[in-house]
Amino acid sequence: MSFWLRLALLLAPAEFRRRYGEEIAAGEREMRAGDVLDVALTGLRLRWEDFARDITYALRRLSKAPLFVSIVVLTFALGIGANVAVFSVLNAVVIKPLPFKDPNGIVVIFDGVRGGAEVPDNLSLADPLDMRSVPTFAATAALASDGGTMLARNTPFAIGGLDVIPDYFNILGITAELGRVLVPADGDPGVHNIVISDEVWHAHFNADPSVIGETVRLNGVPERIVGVLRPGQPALDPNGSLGSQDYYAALPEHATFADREERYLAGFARLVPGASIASTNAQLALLSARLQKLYPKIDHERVFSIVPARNELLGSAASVLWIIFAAVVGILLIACANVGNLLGARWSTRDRELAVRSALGASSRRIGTQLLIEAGVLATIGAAAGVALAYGALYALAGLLVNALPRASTVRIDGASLLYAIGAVIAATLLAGVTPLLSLANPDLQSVLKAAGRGGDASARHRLRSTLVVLEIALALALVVVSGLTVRSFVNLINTPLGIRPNGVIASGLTMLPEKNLGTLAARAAMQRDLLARLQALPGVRAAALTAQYPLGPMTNRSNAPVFGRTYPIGSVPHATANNITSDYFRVLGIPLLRGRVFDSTDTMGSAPVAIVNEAFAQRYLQGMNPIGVRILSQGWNDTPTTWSTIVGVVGDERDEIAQPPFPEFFVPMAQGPTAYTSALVYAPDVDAAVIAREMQGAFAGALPTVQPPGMHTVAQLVANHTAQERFATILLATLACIALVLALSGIFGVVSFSVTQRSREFGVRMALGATEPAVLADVLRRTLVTTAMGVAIGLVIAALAARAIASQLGSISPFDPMTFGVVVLLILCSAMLASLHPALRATRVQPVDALRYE
Amino acid sequence: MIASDPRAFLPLSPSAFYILLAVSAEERHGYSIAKEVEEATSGSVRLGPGTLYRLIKQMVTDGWLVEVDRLDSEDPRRRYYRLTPWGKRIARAEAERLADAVRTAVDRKLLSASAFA
Repeated sequence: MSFWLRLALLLAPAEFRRRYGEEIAAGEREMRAGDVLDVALTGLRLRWEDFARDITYALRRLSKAPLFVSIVVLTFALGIGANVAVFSVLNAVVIKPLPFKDPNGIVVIFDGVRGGAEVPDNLSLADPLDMRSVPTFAATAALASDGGTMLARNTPFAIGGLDVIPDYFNILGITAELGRVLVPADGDPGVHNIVISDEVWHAHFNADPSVIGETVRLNGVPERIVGVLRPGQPALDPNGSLGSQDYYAALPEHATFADREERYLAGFARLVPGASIASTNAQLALLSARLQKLYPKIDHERVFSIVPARNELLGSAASVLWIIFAAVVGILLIACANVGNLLGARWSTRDRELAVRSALGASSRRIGTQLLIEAGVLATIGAAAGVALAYGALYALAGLLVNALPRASTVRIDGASLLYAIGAVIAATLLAGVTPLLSLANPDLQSVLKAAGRGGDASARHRLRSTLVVLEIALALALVVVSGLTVRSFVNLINTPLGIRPNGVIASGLTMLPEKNLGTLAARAAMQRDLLARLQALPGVRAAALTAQYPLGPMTNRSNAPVFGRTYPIGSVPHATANNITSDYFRVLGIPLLRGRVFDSTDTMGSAPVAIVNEAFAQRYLQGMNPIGVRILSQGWNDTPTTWSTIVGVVGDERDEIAQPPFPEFFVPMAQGPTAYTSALVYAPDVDAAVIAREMQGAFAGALPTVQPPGMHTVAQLVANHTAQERFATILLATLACIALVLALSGIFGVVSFSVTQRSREFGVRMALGATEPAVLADVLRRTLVTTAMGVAIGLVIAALAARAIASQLGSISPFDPMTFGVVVLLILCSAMLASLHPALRATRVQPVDALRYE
Repeated sequence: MIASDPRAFLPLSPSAFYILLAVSAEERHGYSIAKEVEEATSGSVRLGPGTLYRLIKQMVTDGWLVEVDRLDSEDPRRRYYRLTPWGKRIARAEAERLADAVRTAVDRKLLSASAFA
């Protein structure tokens, strides 16, 4: 027989092949073109007919067991639904490449090392320009958040955008839908060109193509629109995420000496093809050393480094999502074990029928296929319900997701999700079907025929069922431990003392003072006095302050603050958060004054420059000396003066970031350095937060009529915004742990119930021979306890491994936290006992007469 | 599965009908059925081996054909098939159905009566 004919015959069901294979081969010499194909297609057709018949048969059988079907479909729907939902998130956020041209070549540049002891610093404008000498960079760029009020076609509106070095567009491969993107010449002095997003173009320009060349005012400055970007164009955000921006303006392509001092830019670059991260970091180290020699005052202690943009953008989201994904895979395994046991129980009652069919000539393989098809039909119905569940879950969680994860707005159930669902159906069918199949693969069907009527339970079968329950308990325990650890670490995180009042404080977003007040510091100061007076006059406000930044606020500015008269070896110049504040800042936030005084009305533009440092600054940089009277260099930003300021007070620490220990910080009076950007803080404990927020916006509108008033947040809202990812992970893991626990407990319930039913005769005999009810109860519970204890033992090992894997996500909670482990073990043991109590009590009620009647 | 009225199985596919015709006069093995069908239809009905044996299998299962042992077979792998009385009734019913159709065509002057004779 030719190879091709043999192959074609293999496609046909074995029965057909056995019967007609030889005969077809006998005619092979007379075969013509197409005949082999005809054999192959016939084989497929016969297979399909068998398959359709099996499915019809399975559906007919299942329709007679609606309760069984509902339980199994619900179990599969939970297991597969959770998988599809989490996979869709994982795929959109982590697996899909970044939405830019050749995204693997894009890197983010830091001053400092990501993952080191301190948060890396931003870059100055000079840095990315200096880095153009690094040969492994194809292009470098930098960006900073900007925004404010745009006045276009006589309508003002709030707008957020980016200031970028124009290579931004080349590096990311962004092109214009209309007009052009920015080019280096757009950053030249006196040139004011911007590009706007497609969304702004539609919302505020009516998608009018003549917008190109139109002049608008951005914070009072005339800007010419030169291009419109494509719809939904994603942008790199300075805080290391993906976002969307309303407009883009160009940064200059040359840096002055003063530009070296202001580090406010997020740097990124494209590597030349084939360049490695390590070789580029080595080149950057050389550049850092060269800059330190050239600009010893400014560019000391700089250590540039790069990481792939993907890592930076995803941050810990990738590991968090992989953890959650592992959890849902665990749930699917538990669901499959449960269904496996249910199917096993159901099919074991069909032993007799199967034995009869087998005796009538149905091959064991055909029977096996039918059983698997029944499992597959159940898994498919479950998956359909699961996809609907996943759809609903993603819809319900959309708000939580968007705050918690980068690119969450792109999450949807797509073709990849459905492919994954199909994969899950196949896996679930095999996993749930293969164990009962193994127990049915009893070659001695004759004994089954004899035993089936008497409910005889092969002990091997019982062992298999118990093994599945052991695995379920182990997986559920690991999941509950992981979620318990996550919950504890989340509770810890949101209760982290920030060093400020948790209640009664309302903080505004960042506002840029309008153009006419940017010119002179005196004008800025006057505008700020007016705004502050309006805020202080609001009813219920006990204290109000203006500030450049505040804990968990929209920006953190840091600079070097060397102590007068000292020289520092490279790498040890004091580095601190630099804040400009009005005098009531500490009163508003409830930060204690530890030594000296706070700022007051005597600290003015004309008086001696003063500063206040926090405890962390004093301890780290002024160890063993009285900080009062020490002079430090306060680098002014937003064109405020750089001066030697005398420390007049020491205050308690506040945290810039929730998960970072307090950083050294110094404060200078807003009156001596009025910044162009400002935020407002008020303390109004007796007034409803929403009411005071509206009134604060009114104060902003009164003082700055041409500026869109900023958004307002309570400290609790700031904490919530800063812990969105942790909140998401915690809620999800806790939900999944509950599902796992319920599935595992229903597994225990099912197996104990089944075993009690199977052993009812034995119990009847024992009770007839004088066994007491408590003795029977104890026997059933003891068996459950042994099974559960084995599951707990294995589960503890899995939990320990899983906990170690997520240790970095747990903050201060030990991955082997004895309390969490202890509570979870107790919970599992007790609930397992409870789940088996009902069937165990049933065992004690067996009437000896009933049980023996069947003999 | 033998129904009392063979018309319940009509109309037959052309392939099925010609297979029945091929074995109506004498027992044949599979390949000779295919050859006979092709000759009888001047090549317009071609049965590939897969299609042929799928139909034969179905007809044997349904009791239209039976396998017969022939000691004179030149190739022992080849099996011969014979039309059962039930198969013959079905073939006849299909032939009558076709004849009716042809008569109607003649009545409507689609076909001349001479072509029929």
